[in-house]
Amino acid sequence: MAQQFELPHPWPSDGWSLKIRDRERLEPPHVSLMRRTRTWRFALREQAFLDREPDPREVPARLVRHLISNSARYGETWDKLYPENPVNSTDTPSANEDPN
Amino acid sequence: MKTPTKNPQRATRPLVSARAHTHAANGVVPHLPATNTFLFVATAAQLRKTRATAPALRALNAINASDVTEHYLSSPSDAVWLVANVSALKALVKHAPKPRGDQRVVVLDELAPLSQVVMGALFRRVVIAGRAIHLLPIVKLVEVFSSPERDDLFIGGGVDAESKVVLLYRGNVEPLVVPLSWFRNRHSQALMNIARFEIRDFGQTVALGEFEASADAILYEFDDEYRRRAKARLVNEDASLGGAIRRLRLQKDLKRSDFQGIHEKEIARIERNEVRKPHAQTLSIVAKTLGVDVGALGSF
Repeated sequence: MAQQFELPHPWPSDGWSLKIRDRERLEPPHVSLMRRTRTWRFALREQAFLDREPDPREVPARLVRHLISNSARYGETWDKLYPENPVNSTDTPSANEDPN
Repeated sequence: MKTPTKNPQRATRPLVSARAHTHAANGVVPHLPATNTFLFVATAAQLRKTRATAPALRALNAINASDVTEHYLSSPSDAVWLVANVSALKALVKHAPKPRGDQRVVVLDELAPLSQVVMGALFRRVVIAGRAIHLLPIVKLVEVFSSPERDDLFIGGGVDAESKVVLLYRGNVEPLVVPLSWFRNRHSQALMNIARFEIRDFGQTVALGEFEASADAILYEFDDEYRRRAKARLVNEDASLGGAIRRLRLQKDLKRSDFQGIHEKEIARIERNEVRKPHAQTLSIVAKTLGVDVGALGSF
């Protein structure tokens, strides 16, 4: 089922939440960091934000560090939900191709 | 969702003046494109309650119920109405002015069948909360309507079990119909329950019981314009045909061996862009298997 990951204080009370839902845009593997009406997609392979908008600089640096330090756990969850497109796949596009 | 009031006359007295202070500076509502006007029709009590929890309400124009007809005639032709006080629509039904423009209305309360017909004649889109259509709570609706991303957020919808489709309404009150079969993931343990349709995460998640789908995934697959914008937002855009085929194949939960008549290694080569110009017949099979037109393959 959809996974909502706990975020440390004070992020939840500040409106931040983190999820991998049962149906996501599949490629590339990512977690969705949400705050009110906006979502930042954080790539689990590259450990970087996927989209220019919303501006990744709006995400507090400490929260980004939290995502990076927990990305292995998020990756395990992703792989369970989407085993055809695992985070550490050898079936990904070649090195010359952007994974997006 | 009715708010009982002892004195309806008093309850529908002039409301806020969101209009006054949002328009004070330069006549443009903050965060909203100038082409859209949002009108919030509510009782004073509803308004007080909403204002307390939805700071975004200041971006909407709250109007007096007695002025509904006047506003209908004077508002921009693409105005979006959010009606919490259904009795305010009585005047509009009674006078039934000449339909104009592209106005849309979201009614948060039940409406008599005949009134629904009149609303359908006056507004281009009418969404009425009820047993079949579930909407976000009012505070979140206000938030969505006030968001620059509202067109890409869902405000409500419902499931037609007979037709096996999910009807979704976007923040611009445009409908989107998605096959129920799309809401599946054979690896998910989530219990899907179509009787428990719900919009979550401020319009960013569609839930059927425990099962959750992202609005982003839905729009990426079913709205060409959204897909174009979503791709333009990517930090590292892969505009290659191979990348698009790979993304679409994964989204459709297909294996490379699922393309009849094409060896899986060939599909892998195409996805890696090792085939400079795939044969037209090959692309035709690929497109047919993925359920899209050949010309649309590269857009994913």
